[in-house]
Amino acid sequence: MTSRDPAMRQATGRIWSPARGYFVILSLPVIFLAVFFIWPLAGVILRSFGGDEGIFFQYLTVFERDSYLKVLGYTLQVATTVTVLCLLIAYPVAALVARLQGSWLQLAFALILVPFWTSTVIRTYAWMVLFQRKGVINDALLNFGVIDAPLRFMHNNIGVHIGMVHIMLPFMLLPLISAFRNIDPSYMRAAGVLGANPIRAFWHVYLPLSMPGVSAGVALVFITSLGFFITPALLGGAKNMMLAVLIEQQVTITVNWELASALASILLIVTACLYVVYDRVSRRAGGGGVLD
Amino acid sequence: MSGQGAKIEYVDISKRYGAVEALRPTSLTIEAGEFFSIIGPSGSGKTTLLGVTAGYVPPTSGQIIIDGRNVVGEPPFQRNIGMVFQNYALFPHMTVAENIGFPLRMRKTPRAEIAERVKKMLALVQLEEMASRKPGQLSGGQQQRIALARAAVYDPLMLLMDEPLSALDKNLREAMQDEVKQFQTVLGSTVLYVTHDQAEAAAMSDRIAIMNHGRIVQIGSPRDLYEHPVARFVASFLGEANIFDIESVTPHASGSMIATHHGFSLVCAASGSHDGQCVCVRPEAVALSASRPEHDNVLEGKVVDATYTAGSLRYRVELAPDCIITQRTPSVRGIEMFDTGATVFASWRAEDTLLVDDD
Repeated sequence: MTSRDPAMRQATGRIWSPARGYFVILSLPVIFLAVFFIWPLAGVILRSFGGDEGIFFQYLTVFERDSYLKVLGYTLQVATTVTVLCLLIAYPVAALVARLQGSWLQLAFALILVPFWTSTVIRTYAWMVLFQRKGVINDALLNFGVIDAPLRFMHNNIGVHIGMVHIMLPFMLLPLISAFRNIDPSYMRAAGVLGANPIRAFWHVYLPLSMPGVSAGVALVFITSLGFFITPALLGGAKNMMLAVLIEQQVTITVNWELASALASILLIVTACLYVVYDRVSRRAGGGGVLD
Repeated sequence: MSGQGAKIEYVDISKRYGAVEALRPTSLTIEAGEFFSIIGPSGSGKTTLLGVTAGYVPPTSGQIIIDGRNVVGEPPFQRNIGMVFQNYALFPHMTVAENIGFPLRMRKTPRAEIAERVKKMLALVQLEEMASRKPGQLSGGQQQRIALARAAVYDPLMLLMDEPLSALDKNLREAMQDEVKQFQTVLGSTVLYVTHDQAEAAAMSDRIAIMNHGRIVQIGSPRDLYEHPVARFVASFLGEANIFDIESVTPHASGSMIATHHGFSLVCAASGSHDGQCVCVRPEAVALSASRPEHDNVLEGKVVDATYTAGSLRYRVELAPDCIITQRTPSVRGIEMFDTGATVFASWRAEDTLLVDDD
């Protein structure tokens, strides 16, 4: 008996379908996001066109002044460098972790996840303690006679990069490990028997099969890095500023809400554009899209 | 795509994982061009022997001599052995043609020659039109054929096959058995075929080795193994067997008289009198009749189960409490069947009372 049977339909009133429950389940997150994310975001975009000087005044200001564009360029450069460094560090680590079994695997995951128990602010302060003029690192280097005068680790490029790579590393590791664990070991075994030495087997088989994990990790780290605030604010310098720090300054120091909104909107658009381009490229490269 | 496969000699090859002896010292020679199968339950050491041959499992001791060269110690990529994996292990990111060409590419074969040899292999497995597909777009049987083509395209010394048909459904599996066998005949390769399916091994092999607990129990042609099993394990692993435990063996005019555990007296043509043996009678060797026949061995029993399957009748006959034997006859048209509960006489020749090791 099917639901097309009129008697059946009459008995149940409405035809049940599994999709019916989804609306109920989805309604709460949709309302939450609409109220606390989409509405304020729309407010920011609207405000960027506001002010007494005209609709596009803020955008014209940004694109006329070299200093703002420089900040945008520096932001993109830092995000790129941090992403590449994370990938280079995480790839071999993830390949190793993916081969672990049982309690070793659990231990490795615990070590990767432990940093999430501490807030980014506290971890960044920890780097400040290490990096200070009279911090642990400088003391050690001075004591061992490696250097004569304390080095500057903070308020420059070095500090920002080290701090951000440290914070971002788990976001690269987790998608990579998950992708590596999906690679059936028989592929590498087959490559070997068929005549590929370990290096060529890696290059022709393992690396291409790991691309979905690479593209997911790269997207995650790069996009998060673009809007990263805390670590660049605490470890970065005044000379090289990242966009999120500049936006915060416009809000709290200059109190130029319209300019801050325009900068935030530009960051949003740049991120979205880069994401679309990246997804297309990685799809064409055969690694599958970011969302696959 | 030419020439004969190589001759393979295993000399005291063994593998130990800690305290576990996965493969006890084993010596074995596979002739050039032979289709050699290894069957056995899981954990019997057959997969270990395969891994040791391919080179990704280092043996604890012994030698593997392929065409006069000891390959133990050589990494897999230098051995020039072809292998078909259980799940095929076709690279999902490469097309069918790239998959087949992969081993040639690794050997730095010129591009034009790769294209030509890939084309030849695709023609051999009749999948020319699939060259630019990805493995994921092929059916199980097609993937199987591509895996065969990839394993053989570089004229390897031998072909290893690790349960290559186990993922296919029954009808396709039987069709593929013929294809694999034909493929091997055309190429003249030496094949080492590992499976847990005895019927599959019997259908394709020149010789079969039966393994259990890390050692080879018996080697022989499929017919040899079925008609002359040396051990209870072989008898019951290969086909069906009626096993009787022995109380005593006494010499007799035409061989020996065997008293079984259930109190039967069986005539046996062989004159074995060893301890630690049991009796094996194949279901086909047994005849059933309604009245007592004149025969070497006659036992009265009751039919407990009668099954008609395509090609044969299968009866289960209770000779004594907890002693049920199986009998099989070809199902000829119009044959009369015994009903369940009918009293019948099971009989067989003295030559069909086989004495085998009871281990």
